[in-house]
Amino acid sequence: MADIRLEEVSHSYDGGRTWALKPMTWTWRSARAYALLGPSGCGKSTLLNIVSGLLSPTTGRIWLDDREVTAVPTAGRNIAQVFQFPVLYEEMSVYDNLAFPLRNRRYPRAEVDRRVREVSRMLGLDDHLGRRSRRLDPGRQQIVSLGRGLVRPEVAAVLLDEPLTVIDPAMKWTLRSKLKEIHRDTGHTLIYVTHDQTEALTFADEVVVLKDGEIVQAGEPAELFLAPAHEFVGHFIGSPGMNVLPAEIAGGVVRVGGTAVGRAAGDGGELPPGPVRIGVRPEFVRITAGQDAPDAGDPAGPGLAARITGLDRMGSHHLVHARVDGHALVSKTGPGSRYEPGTAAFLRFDPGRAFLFRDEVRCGSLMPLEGRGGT
Amino acid sequence: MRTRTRPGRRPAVRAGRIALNTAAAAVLAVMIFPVYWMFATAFKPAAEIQSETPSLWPAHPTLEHFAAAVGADGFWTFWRNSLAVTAAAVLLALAVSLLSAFAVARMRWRGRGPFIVMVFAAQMAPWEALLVPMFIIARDTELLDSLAMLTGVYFMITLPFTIVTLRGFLAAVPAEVEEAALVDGCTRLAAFRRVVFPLLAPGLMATSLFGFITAWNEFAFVNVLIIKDQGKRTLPVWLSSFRDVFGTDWGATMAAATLFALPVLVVFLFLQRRVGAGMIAGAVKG
Repeated sequence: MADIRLEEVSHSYDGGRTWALKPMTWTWRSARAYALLGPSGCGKSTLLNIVSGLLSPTTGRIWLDDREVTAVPTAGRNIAQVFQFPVLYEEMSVYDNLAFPLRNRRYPRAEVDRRVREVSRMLGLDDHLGRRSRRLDPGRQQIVSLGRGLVRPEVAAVLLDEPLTVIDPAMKWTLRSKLKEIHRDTGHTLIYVTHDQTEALTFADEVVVLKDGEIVQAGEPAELFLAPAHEFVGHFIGSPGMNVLPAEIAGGVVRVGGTAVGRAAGDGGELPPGPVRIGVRPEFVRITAGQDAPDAGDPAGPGLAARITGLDRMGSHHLVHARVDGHALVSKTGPGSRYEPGTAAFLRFDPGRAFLFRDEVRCGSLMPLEGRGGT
Repeated sequence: MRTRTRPGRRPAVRAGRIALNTAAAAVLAVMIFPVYWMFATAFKPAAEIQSETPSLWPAHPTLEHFAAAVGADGFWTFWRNSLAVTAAAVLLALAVSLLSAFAVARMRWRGRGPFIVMVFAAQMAPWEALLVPMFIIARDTELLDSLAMLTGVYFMITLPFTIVTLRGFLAAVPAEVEEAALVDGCTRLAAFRRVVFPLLAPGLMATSLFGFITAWNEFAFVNVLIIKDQGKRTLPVWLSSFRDVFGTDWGATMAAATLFALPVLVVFLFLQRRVGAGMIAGAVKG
């Protein structure tokens, strides 16, 4: 087990005209479970193939701890990889498929047998060991592929490229928790590629969000949810995604269509005046129905005047759709709440849960107005 | 819903199936009949062949025509020539095309596109157009009347086709299989040998069979390139000259033709299942 360090690694498939992966420096720390999250075509698989050595990066270097492996072929890197679709050695039995990675590395026969049986028991393949692998159904074939990735005891990392795509939903949950269990028992570094946020958030110690060949944010699931560092993270994670509302900073105050909604607190010092976008998750938008300001004595002001445009009853909660200053906004409320489409309302954002974005990147957060005198 | 639509649909389906089967049987009969006639005639005594009312099968089967054909001057020499030239050309073509198909299907290199176009173009060209140039080359290099030259020509004829077909078969093997083998600790060569090659076996058989048929049946080039040394001829040419040797002994001619067709038939029947699967697999991607 080792840290996998990427140093200014980038990749272009067309000789530098476009970059599938922009230069990145990043360390996959040993024994952690990572989810690599992003839309299709964002460079996830490219990144994975560079780590495993199936692809040589156009620039940059790769290290396993202190050993540089940039030029080391796949077989020498000691990394296991599971692909999105079942990859089987069709001519071989399930047993031989599972034994293949061990035999190639000349493990003693008894050890091979022990490991194969262990993995097959873990994944429920015991009854199929003697069968020709091509005779299995696709779901089971993928489990065999998964088994091949997990059979080697000493690997620097196991890379999983959307491994559960072809597995039916019920089995998916079982396998995912099994993978977590295996991760806990073996302490392998896991890098799990997915475009499914639930999968990423439930599975990983750390989620790495990739967009257009760049890491836009990496952190624990809660961090990505509560403090998105990029508008994309806000949209991609959470359901529905983050609301975005155009606003203006002037004199340190953020205004939406003339209404002051809060004070701008820059992440790195004071924010220059000008247009900005407020990002706030539906979970943190509070909504009060009525024509009049709810509490005239509130120092933060009455809130943003809005009009309710629709209501989705989701069972566990309601989604209230509203329009503010010509822009659509969604609020998540309790299932008992009553809102009438077409009526007026006031919106307010939970303190510390609304952020400011410029060029899609977070530049600050929205603070309550009452502290205005402080700056 | 299901129970309601089914009874209505079934007769139509059945009628369609009967029509298709009838058509297939008709096509089969038309294709098979000449071959069957060759076989039947080869076993008929001369009197029966010449009889005014032709019979569908030999009433008194005889092997005398086969004896005549096999006993004819140089039969075994020609048979050996044919086999040697065909086998050498096919093996050579397979070895070369396997490597080039791999390069074309799996590797990225400058000029790959033009290379593929060239191979296709070479396959399109009518071989007869090359008869004269080949003759001149053979004459100038003193390779007339040489089996090596013939092997070279057959190699040339079968190569483009073999490359194109094998490329199709190779492309049908997902690159991930190879990548998985690399991840599982194989070198590039071992990954190819142990994982890709077994998957390619049906393709190799289909391709080699087609190559075999092409070379085995080839007539024009032997006719032009082997002119003086009768001992270097192959079966097709011998067969065409058969009539002169025996006058109009149709029985012996048909027996010789049967013996000529037999190896291809045997090879085909032997490989039939795998080749069928291979042709379908190759057709999808190829």
